[in-house]
Amino acid sequence: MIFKVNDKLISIKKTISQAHINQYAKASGDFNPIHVDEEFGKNSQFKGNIAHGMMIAATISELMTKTFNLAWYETGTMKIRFKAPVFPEDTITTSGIIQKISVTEEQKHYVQCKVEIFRQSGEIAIQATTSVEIKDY
Amino acid sequence: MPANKHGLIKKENFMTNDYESLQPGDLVSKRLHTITEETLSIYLGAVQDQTEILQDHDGNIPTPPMAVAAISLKGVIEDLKIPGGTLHVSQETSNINTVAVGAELTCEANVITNSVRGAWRFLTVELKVTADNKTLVLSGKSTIMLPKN
Repeated sequence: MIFKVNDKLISIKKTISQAHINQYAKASGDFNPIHVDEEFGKNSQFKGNIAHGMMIAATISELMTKTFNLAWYETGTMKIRFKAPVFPEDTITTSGIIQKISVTEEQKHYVQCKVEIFRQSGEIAIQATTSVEIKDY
Repeated sequence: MPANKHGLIKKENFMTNDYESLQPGDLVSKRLHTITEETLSIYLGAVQDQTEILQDHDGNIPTPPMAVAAISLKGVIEDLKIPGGTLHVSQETSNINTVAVGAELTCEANVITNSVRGAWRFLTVELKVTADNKTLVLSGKSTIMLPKN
């Protein structure tokens, strides 16, 4: 597959529920009450429970896998900043664009992408820069 | 055990909430984990991941890197007794090798920086995950902010 700068990645849209958050707590072992305790959430600065940042960020990895398959699993890198919380019943959209394609002295091809996750309000929840080595470029 | 550059002993299975004492280089967590098909199924349900390569059940299901990253943070959360209200600020991950579901993973975390700004403590840890104690699977860096009091 040929990739070009400014190519858009396949975007992903999903709605987050408290049940998903509780399930992620079980899978990750992260039972921070900000995620799973309703009373704690109400009394926090967010006035409610919020999703785990890594649970939302998993969508970035899913998006990269859809485009780059196992190359993402083996050579992918990601730098993310959590900008705003995602709440139960939020619908998030994850989208990305190829920012740069580079070739190293060893003739390795790397694709660098900018990926963002938006809440339904348009607010950016997560910003990320990802890169992946493309072996059959 | 070797001393770090600050002369402190690196401790395994370090369990503390004395965050002020944490120094760069300190090993704060070292744990063995196995991601089973059941754990993976719970994880995939939570993150609603329907990637096709995960549905290719030929007996050698690759574990999603973010599932590996999540499990590597589990030890940090538990061993540092991370308090409620702690927030994840940033995360870096490098996926290095694919690991099949069922592999034994060794997850280690070392302190990189530890500082206080206002009412928050900012702690950055380096994560390293190896399979069967030799193959590097994932490395990363997590920054969290903990309520200081």
